[in-house]
Amino acid sequence: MSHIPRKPNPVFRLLLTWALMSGLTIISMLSGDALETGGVTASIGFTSVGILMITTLFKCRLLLLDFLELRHASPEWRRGFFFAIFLITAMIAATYALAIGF
Amino acid sequence: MHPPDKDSDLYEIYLLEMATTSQQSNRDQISSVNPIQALPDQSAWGPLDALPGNPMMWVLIISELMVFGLLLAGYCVKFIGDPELFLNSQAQLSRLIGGLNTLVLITSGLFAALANEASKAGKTSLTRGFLAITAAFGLLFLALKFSEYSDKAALGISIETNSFYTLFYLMTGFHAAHVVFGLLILGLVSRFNSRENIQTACAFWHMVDLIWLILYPVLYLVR
Repeated sequence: MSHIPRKPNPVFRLLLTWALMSGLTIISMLSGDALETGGVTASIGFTSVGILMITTLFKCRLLLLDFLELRHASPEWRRGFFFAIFLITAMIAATYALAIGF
Repeated sequence: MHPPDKDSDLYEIYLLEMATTSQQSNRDQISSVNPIQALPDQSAWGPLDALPGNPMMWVLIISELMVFGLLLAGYCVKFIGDPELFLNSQAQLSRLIGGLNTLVLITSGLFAALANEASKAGKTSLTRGFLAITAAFGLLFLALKFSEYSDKAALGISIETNSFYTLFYLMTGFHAAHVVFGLLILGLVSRFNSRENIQTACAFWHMVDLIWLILYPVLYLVR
């Protein structure tokens, strides 16, 4: 008997996307010491900046695929948008490396 | 069949018959082709037709990404020029409020996406309900943003304080203006709720969300 894969419920997928994006935002906040108050200027380090940019990239990817429905668009468009977001995050990481160092 | 001699009386009749046969053959050829196939394979928006929703909204989304990308490039240049100034200025921002605002916009994005799904199913009142919740979260975002701007104003910080704050107010202010415009669009499509209108308004709202997802870590957290 052939096994037919079940199409995921779109509402469930949206809720999962929201949960993942919220989780990634909390990781970003922790990585950027957002809970610290009192005008902290100490550098968070290149690793934390890298984590921030990767979480940003993933959040944008989830938003583009599920909220903006690019999952149903052509792969060329998906690659184009991901590349644009990647360029921006790479630019920020490179700027940090140049201005503050590794 | 051989044609008759050009000088004979039959030649004119022959030419008339040949012309009639040729016209009939052309008509048969045209009618055998599907009228849609006869037209060249073209569409009004070209590659943009491959994207979901109204192509004009995607033109706007791409333009906005380019505008904010350029503003962020300007931020990067200034940051490299004077990192100390940027770090000291950024320390005066409320990173927690920025993070809460990110969660607020993500949640509003969820309800916009749910409104889009309800609209696909033709559930008008549910669509309106989700759009109202989306707008409520948008208003909460603006309230938090206003509170943040008020705190800065109380400290005497404005758009002219230094280059960090010029770029900060320019980017977050421009983004907040998009949120206000998004709220107006959400209100309009609640009234004129065709399938395409709902999809287009939700795409605009997600674009606003997308921009903030990039702005928050860059302006508030990277140091």
